Amino acid sequence: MSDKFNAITKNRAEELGYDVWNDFVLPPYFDRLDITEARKPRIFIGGRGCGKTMLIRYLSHVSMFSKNRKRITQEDTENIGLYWRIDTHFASMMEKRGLEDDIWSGAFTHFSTLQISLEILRSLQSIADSTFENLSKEDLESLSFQELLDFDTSFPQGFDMLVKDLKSRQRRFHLWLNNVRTQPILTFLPKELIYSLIEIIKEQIPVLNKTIFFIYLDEYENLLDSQKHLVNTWLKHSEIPLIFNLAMKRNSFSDRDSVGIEQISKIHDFRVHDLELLIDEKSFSVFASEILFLRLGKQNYPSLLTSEVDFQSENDLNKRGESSYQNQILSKVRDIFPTYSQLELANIVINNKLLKKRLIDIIALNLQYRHSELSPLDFISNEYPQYSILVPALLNRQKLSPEFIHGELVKATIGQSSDFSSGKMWYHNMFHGCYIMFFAPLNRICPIYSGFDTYIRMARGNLRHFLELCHKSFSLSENSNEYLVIDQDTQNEAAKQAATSLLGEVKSFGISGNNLYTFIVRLGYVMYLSHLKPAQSEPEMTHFGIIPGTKTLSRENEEFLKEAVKWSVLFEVQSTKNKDNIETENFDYILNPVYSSYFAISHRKGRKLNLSTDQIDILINGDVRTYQALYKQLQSQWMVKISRQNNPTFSQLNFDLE
Amino acid sequence: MKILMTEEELEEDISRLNEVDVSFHGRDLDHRGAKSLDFINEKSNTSIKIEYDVIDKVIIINEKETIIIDEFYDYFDNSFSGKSLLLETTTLGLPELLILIRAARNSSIKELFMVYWEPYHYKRQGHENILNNRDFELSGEVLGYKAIPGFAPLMLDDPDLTTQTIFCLGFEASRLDRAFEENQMIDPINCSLIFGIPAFNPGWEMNSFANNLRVIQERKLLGPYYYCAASNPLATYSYLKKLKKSLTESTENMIVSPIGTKPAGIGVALFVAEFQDVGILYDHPVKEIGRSKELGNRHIYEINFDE
Repeated sequence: MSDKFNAITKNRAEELGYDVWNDFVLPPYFDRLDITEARKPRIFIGGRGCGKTMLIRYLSHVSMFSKNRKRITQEDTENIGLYWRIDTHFASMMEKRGLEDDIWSGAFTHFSTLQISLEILRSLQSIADSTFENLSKEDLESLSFQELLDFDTSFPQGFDMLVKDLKSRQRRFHLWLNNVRTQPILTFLPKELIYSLIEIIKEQIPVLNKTIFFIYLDEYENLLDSQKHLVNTWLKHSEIPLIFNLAMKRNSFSDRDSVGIEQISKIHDFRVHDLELLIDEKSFSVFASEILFLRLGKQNYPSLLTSEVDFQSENDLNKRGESSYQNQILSKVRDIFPTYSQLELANIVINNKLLKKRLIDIIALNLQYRHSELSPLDFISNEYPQYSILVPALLNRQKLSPEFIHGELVKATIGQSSDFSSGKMWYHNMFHGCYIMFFAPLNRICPIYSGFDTYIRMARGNLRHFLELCHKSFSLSENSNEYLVIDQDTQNEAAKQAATSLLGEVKSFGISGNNLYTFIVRLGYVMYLSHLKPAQSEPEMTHFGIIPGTKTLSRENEEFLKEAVKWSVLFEVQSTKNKDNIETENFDYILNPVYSSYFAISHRKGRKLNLSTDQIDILINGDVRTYQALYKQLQSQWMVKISRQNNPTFSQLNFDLE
Repeated sequence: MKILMTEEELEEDISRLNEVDVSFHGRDLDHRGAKSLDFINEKSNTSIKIEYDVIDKVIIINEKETIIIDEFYDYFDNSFSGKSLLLETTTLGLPELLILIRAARNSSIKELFMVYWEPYHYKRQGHENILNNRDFELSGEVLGYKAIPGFAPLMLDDPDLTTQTIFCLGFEASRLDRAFEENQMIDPINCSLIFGIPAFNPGWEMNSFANNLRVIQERKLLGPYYYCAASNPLATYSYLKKLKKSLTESTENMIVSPIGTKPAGIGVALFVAEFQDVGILYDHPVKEIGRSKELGNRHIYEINFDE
């Protein structure tokens, strides 16, 4: 991999560390978050890859008072963010084990108090080490912590000593928690300690006397229920100078949870920011491009950055929302990631000897099947190859005679109105599906997965996925030019590699990760099969709806689908009417388009595949034999003739049991 | 600590393993487990089933009695001090091994033996393709990385403390992936990987490499990489000990994640029984019933804590 593109290999917030000052691009919705004015607790919701963790790390003191930040004003110190992530692996031990709930409550409070207090002290250190001139290390060393002695007479005086002491208490707590029977009982510190600490700071450091501390608790959904209850009460009592805020994944709570958002909202006053709803597709495209440009610009391609607009300044947010600016960005990024037009795609076939021969052979076979005297060459147009691509599917439609199709083709090629370009709109409706079907059994990837807009569609709001696609493209590219362009074939290959990697991750998604993976593979494969329907009357089936079977959808299966949505393996959309007007469940489900290149299916949202509740049950719970039977039944029902063994992705699939 | 190891291909008895007082076993899930239980029943006067419940944090004895994990060590000391013990490690899970081995070390037991049966070698097609038949099969649930009291590491956002995490790897790359997904405090820069090489059977190491490669690349695990024989707990134990000694105690922590072979897990359990400040990260996969596996080689390990 080229070293040149190291800039964008770090596409997870965790990889960037806590100081993200240099790397953070303000999201377009940043001013809607009312960061500095907020006095109520806020809850940030978003799926993986939406930028949630990055945002709260940016708001926290390590970034806000980064050594890389050239100018820090008095006003900046009036809001100090504390990033708080609980080791939930460790915290899961704080229950049962023969101890009463109130002991665990005290333990969790103590654990949290230590961590938050340490974080407060570290925030002061961040400010002292930064370019802010009105707070120095000496100021910190002169702090007196007399009041803390009320909580424990062994608290040392002196800033550094206090930090050491708190860390030592953390280690002792760890020892105790690991062996609650054999370790001496600890004095649990109450939450009030935090408030005392803040009071000490505000009284003794005049420059901070207006300061409000904002806690950002990440991954709230991973806490035990008892711990969530505690945090909820802290949220309730959130007031100046300490405000609690939470960050969590979407769909983190089932209806039966007693601590979900609905329950919290009954008793508390707070504001929810759903980060994914705050941004539309165009804004996302621009935002994603800006992040890419920032990374590339800093390292290798300074021409991508302009001094006119600062991605990292609140002052330029409005400018970044203007159409002219946005169109400029999109134009630049589309130059980097060109796509094939549909004509170019068709020409790939016509201009390649083998591919052209394959097209002719398929048409010949279909003509024979239709008992037609016409020659396959009559259907090959060098000027309108995009229409020729549709012919195999059209010949499979019994209602259309080969002569009629030929007649329409002739009309289309001499500029007359025909069902290809108007009327039945064959070209508009069928090109993509026919093209995918043509490439299905071949060794080479269907070249439709290139282009910036395609990448954006496949990423579907997930910044991480978008950056992953870019990263793979760059690493496969041999481009050493001054002008940054990634050719379509490279992008295509990159898409498939990224899809393969990302699909592999599914196994690690929660308790049902393995099942989710199997389900998605089975579903993807069924969708692939549906793309091979010879007549292409309902092309590009990349989403499904559920129709009644012999039984209703079980509760477990409903939960499973919710889990798939939580992890963004499926996306849930309001149900659309299908052709036959059959009653469906309320939601349709889209397979995450980032996986589309892996399964050789369309990345667009095409027609809906109807799966019965029984079929869904087989996909989720059926054993291999039952799944195979379903597959064979669908293959027969859809009259798919192409042999599966010819597709290299699935070529090792051996359905014969040992 | 001294570990004596014997490996045998025959089903005959070996002289080292005489009758023991008590044997401990887990759930017998398949042919391998059933056969192994027969073996230990012949060898011991009493046979006890031990299971650890991850959520309730209790040990279940013979499916009846429940003991809180924190109280288990006293119970063990009272019940088995002075006795000779045999652990049937093919059926015992990793948490059970951690707990039993620590308990054995802390008590004054007479002798400690362990038996492990490898799965049998079978011919595979050896294709390194993306999709294979297994992808269509249902696999078990994984409860996820949950701490086992007594073995939990402390992972803090402390700039003055470095934590070295060592993974013992097997075939399933998703377990490594999940470790990073669920424990975002693990720093890839401070990770080491131990591969079980040589594997149980020639060629199997390719599965380990091929499967884990994706995660290694994605998570940017630049190493170092180490190799300890898949069936040799002593190799893993010795290696971990060497690593521990190379760390600076005040500023460097150590965590081990035994997500590879069972013998590697035994090596890890022996190591953390001795170095009790080392934490364990384990993901508690739910074992599937009825995977039909023929029996491979049988290993007997004899442990002497005093030497």
